[in-house]
Parts: sequence; C-alpha cells; structure tokens
Amino acid sequence: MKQKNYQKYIKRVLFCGTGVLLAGGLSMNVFAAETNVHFGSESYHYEMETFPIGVYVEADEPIGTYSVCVEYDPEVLEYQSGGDSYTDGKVYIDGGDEATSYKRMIYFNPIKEEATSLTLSEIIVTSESGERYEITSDNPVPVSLGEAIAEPVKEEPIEEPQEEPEPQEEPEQTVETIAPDQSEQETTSDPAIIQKAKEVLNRLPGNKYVYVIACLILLGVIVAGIVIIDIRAIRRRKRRRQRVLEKQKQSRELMAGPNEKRKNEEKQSGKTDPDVVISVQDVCMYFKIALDAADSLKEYLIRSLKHQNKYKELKALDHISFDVHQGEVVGIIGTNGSGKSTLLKIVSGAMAPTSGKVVADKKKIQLLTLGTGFDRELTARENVYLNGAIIGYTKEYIDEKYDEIVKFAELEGFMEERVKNFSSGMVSRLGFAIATMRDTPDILILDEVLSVGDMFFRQKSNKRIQEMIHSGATVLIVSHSTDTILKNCTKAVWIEKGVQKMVGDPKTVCAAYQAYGQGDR
Amino acid sequence: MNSNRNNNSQRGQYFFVVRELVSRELKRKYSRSKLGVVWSVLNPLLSMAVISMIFSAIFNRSIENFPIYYLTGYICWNLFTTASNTAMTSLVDNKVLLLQVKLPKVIFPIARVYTAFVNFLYSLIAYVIMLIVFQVKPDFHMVLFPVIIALLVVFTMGVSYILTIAFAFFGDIQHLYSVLLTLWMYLSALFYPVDVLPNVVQRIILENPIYNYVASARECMMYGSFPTIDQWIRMVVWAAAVYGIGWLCFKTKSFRKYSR
Repeated sequence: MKQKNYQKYIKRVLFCGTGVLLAGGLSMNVFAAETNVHFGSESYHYEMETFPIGVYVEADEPIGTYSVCVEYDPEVLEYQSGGDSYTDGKVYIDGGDEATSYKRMIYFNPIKEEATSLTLSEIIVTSESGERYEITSDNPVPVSLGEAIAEPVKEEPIEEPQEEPEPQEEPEQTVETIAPDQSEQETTSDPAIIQKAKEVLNRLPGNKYVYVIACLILLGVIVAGIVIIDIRAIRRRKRRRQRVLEKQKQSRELMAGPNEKRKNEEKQSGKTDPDVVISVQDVCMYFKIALDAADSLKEYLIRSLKHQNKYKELKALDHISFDVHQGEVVGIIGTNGSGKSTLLKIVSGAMAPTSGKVVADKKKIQLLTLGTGFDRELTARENVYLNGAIIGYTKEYIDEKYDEIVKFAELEGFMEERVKNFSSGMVSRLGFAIATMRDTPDILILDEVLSVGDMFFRQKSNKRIQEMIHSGATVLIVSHSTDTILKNCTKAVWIEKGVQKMVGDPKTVCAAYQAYGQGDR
Repeated sequence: MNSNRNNNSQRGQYFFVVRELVSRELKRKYSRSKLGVVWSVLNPLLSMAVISMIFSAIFNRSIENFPIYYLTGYICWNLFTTASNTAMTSLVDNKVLLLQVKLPKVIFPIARVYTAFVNFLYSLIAYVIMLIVFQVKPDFHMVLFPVIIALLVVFTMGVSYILTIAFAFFGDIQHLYSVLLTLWMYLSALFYPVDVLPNVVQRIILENPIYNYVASARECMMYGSFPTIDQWIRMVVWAAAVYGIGWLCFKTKSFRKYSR
C-alpha cells in the first residue's frame, strides 16, 4: 500500500539523478579545448652540461595518441636523446596509451653559451575514440646557457631527482645515455617516484573527481529521499489509523445501547474477566489494493502525474469482536477468502490490525500450521530438525521423539529422501506429525489442519487433536467444514466477507451458515 | 513449550534454530551442484587467479605478492557482501515463517550472516593454502587476524540489520544497494594500491570502513605489523556504531508488522 508512494518518489529522484549524470556526461565531449601541451618551465637556464627539458601533454580525457615536435636552434643546442630526430632542429616525440597525462624528457647538449629558445609545433592529439585534434601551444620558451642570460630566468623546477618520468613511460626512454637517473627510473616502487606520480596526478584538473563526488552526492540525496518518504508515509498511515479509530468511536457511541456500552467500556479497560483468555476487540484489517495496476514505468509515471493511481480499500476484517474463555473450543467458520486466516494471524500476533486490539497472552499461544518452514530441497530428516527448531523444540527433544514422529507420519524408509519428491499427502502427514508431537500448549490455534492425508490418517489425526482438546487447552479452530466445527467446538464464530455474522452455539451458527450457503447458490 | 523455561535455555534454543537455518542455507546453496561445498574453497581461488592474471601486470611493481594482497581483501569483502546481501532479504524470504512462528526476527538476518561466515571459514582453507604456496612466513601478528574478522562481522551484522529493516519496508533498496556495492568495492582498494590514487580519493578510501578492515588484515597477515592506532579506532568505532544503529532499527521497527 504505502510502498506505491515510495516508488513514486524514488522514481522521481532517480529521474533527476539520471538527468544530472547525462548532463555531466555530455560535457565530457569537449576534448581538444581541455588538452594542453607545454614545457615544464617557462624559461630555462643551464650551465654547460647535458640538460633535460620536460614536455607535458595533458588532457581531461584519456589520450589515444599524441605527437609533438620540439623545434630548437641546432647551432646552439645539440639533441641528445628522449625523442626521434630526423632533421636538425626538430625533435619528435609521440606515444599514447590512454592515460590522461604524459611527461617526456628531451636531453640536449649546449654547444655555445648563448640564449636561444624552444618551440612546440605540429601538435597532434587523438582522443580515445580516434578523433583528431591539432593544438596550438604557448609561445617559445627562452633558454639561456652559461653566462648569456637573455631574460629573467626562474628557478628551474625540474631538478634531477624528481625529474623521474612516470612509470607508464615509453621504453625508449630507458635507452638514454644520461647516467645519473637511469637506476632510479627502473625501480618504480621507490617511494619518491610514487610521490612524484601522485604529484603529477594531483596537477591534473580536478574535475575528473567531480563525477565521483557527484555520484556520492546523488546517492546521499537518494538515501535522504528514502528517509523523508519513509517518515512521511508512516505519518500518513498513523493519521489514517487515527481517523479510523475516531470514526469507530463515534459510531460506537451512536449505535451502542446502554448494555453494549457497558460491555465496551469493560473491554477497553482491559481483561476484566479472568476467564477470558483471548479477547478480540473491534478488530479491523484493511488492505489497499491498486485498481488496474500500472505495468510499465512509463504508464506508472503518467498515472502518478495525473494522480490516477486508484486504490480500493479491501476490508478483510470489519469490526470483529468476541471473547474466548478458558477451556473453550471455538470454531471460526466462513467461506474462502472471508478473512478467517487473517484473523488467526492477528490473534497469534503475527500481524497488527488496522484498528482495534486483541488481548491475549501471546506467550501461551501456539499457532499450528502445517509444514512451517519446510524446505523442498532438503531431506525429510533435515526438515524434521529444521521445522522442529522453528516451532520451538530443542535438539534433544527432537532426537528423542524422532522415531515417534516418523512412525506417526508413516514415512519409515523415506526419511533420507528429498521432500520435493514427496506427494502432498506425505508432506502434510510429516508436518502434522511434527507439529503435534508436543506438550499441549495453553492456547492452541489450528489453521485447517484437520483435513490432512487419507481417510485413515485423518482418523488418526482427529484422535490426536481430540486428545489435545480434552487435555484442557483453549482451542481456536479455523475451518470451512461445518462437520469439524460441529464435532469439536463449544462455540462458533461465523465471518463472511470480513463481517462478523454470528457468534454463539455451533449448531445454530452452522445451520445459519449452511442456509446462507444454499441460498446463495 | 513449557512456560517456565528460563532465559538461558531459550537462548540455546535460538542458537539451535540459527544452526538449523544455517545448515539449510548451506545445503540449499549447493543442493544442485556436484562439488557442493568445495565451491566455497574453489571460488576465491579461481577469482584470485583471474584477477591476479589481469591486474598483476599492471600493479606488480608496486604491490609485492599481488595474489595474497588480492585474496586477503577478497575474502573479507566477500564475507561482507554475501552476508549483507543475503541478510537483506531474510525477513521477506521467511515471511511465511514470520507470520506463523513466534521467533525473534533478529534470528533470520543473524542466520544469513552466520551462513556467510561459515562460507568465509571455508574460503580460509583456500587462503591458508595460498599463504603456504606463496611462502608467507608465519608471524605472531597473525594472531590479530581473528580479532579483525570479529570486528568485521560485527560491522556486517549492523549493516545487515539496517538493510533488512529497510528492505522490509522498501523493496527498491535491493537494487540501490547493488549499485552502491559496486562503488563501494572500487573504493575498497581490493586490487590496486591506494598510493596511485589522487589525494581526494585516498581520503575517501581511508575513511571507508571496509578498507580499514581489509588493510588491517593485510597489515597483520602480509606485512607482519600491527595495524595503526587510527585503524584500530576506525574499526572499533565503525563496528560499534553501525551495530548500535542496526540494533536500534530492529528494536524500534520490528514491532510494526508487515501488511503486504
């Protein structure tokens, strides 16, 4: 019932979320604009020795391949290693394996003490999906060598030890002739290198992680939504229940005669009669059933937008009240689907009624249903233990009674067989044997257990139920057979379509029930 | 049963029920397979083989003994996911039972978590074999492993309670949770070193409870050292807090019965 409400809201939230994600995803296509190729520094100054120049290729998205040309003045610098040089004055570097950033070191030897400059040109980057972009880079980077300081020079940030290329570096790099860093380049587990890798990753534009954070926030929103919806639905339900209660009160006060009124007061003040072991007080149970339920999400959305989700309130139980006294055997009768089993579930405490209440010592009640927790994949022996444990037998008790159970169920030789291979009669016989192999509880509730197995087994089971009844227990029997009721009960309650038709002597009630049935058909 | 039954034997009875439920789950799980429970051992081994094959090429230089690194994380992670995933549906699966038998409802999620734990014990066989194969030397720090697992189980139990209640009232949780689990798995550093990640993500991972359990387990099984005090605090606080919240959820919510 209220679950439908949840669905409505959660679907809305999910839709919004998908929208946000899609919008985020679309912006990811801007590739070239976010790609950046530059030198490691804005200017370089070197003494006369071999020196490295760092070239960085960075993008927001994985780069398929890249190719960059570094132009230098061959009269001032001599190319050493780090790329491919086919003509003097141009060094090409290329590569790409779907990382988002690359750092390449190119090594030069100075020839003259002179200021010169390096330029990036012919930059071609393809994205992962194969799209090709030509990129223009910044202006030339000044390089001053030795004494010849042409321009104000910044501190060189790319010093040797941290100068290490990332682990994903191309193998060509290791062929360099520069000695000092070679050893360090290969031991990639060196913490300094991991540190460096982290630094490189940190330098990336942060918006990659925006998606992660967005996802987390989205989840947070959804969870918060659920909580809010939950609270709202519960409140709504409470309010409704209160309304029902108020209505009942009003109608009761209007309708009830003085006698009835006194009785009601008595009931509301709790168990006044010590003899009454179960007191069902004005119990209602309503179920909400969707009229022509939407079977697709689209349909559902359209309907919920139009507020066309109609519900019908099914009154499974409508103002049922009766008392059960100590030692009584009460039969509940009614046609199929008239709410008998629902009533038993409420009495045994497994369900809470929409309104009204049941006063009974729940600890003393034992609901007897067949095959509770039977598992068809297990053998009969395993099921006896499982079922017994669930009903409340101890292991020792089952060990002790095991043979008796098997004998009563007449299943000797079948106990190692899986229950799924049993006939339905065998299953119910086993269920009955387990369920009744016990000390009689104070209050016993039997849900259609008296029509089990073949004729001979039925006689046997009837006998056992009779024993239980005669041992002084209070018994509540549900049945749609008047026979059972007439034979066993001292009192009968007839419920028809959720409405309490009659309470009283089994004979009169059964007669009325039969008359009603025949008149109907 | 006798009404004068005291509390203690009742608890014994509940334990018996849990054991029976667990044995049912286990038998059911493998009822159609020939190898049966051997799969509990084989599964982590095979998964380890696959993941190691794929990822050791990428990370082997930064993680020594990658298969053990992965397997330690995997068995812990598997304990957590199996337990929470199966426990989530436990009340709904056992609806029929719930309506007919008066058992504390906590028994059902507990049985499922216990089942996952038994499964975990089987996968420990695989783990021990692998420890021997990869020549991890026994070390007194390994004594701490059960303690960490115990904390993990408590944490898992708490998460299971919360999920069970949430699922009973709101069925969509199941699908939402499976998405969340995927994210959670990638944030638990099961098959990659944390160091390669950027700071923001590292921070998140460090706060991730599962990662703390996994990392501590690795600490004492692989590296022969104690987990840091920070890790201990995180583990204990997470376990206690989540268990407490879960228990509260169960206490306050379970009186409301299921009308569907």
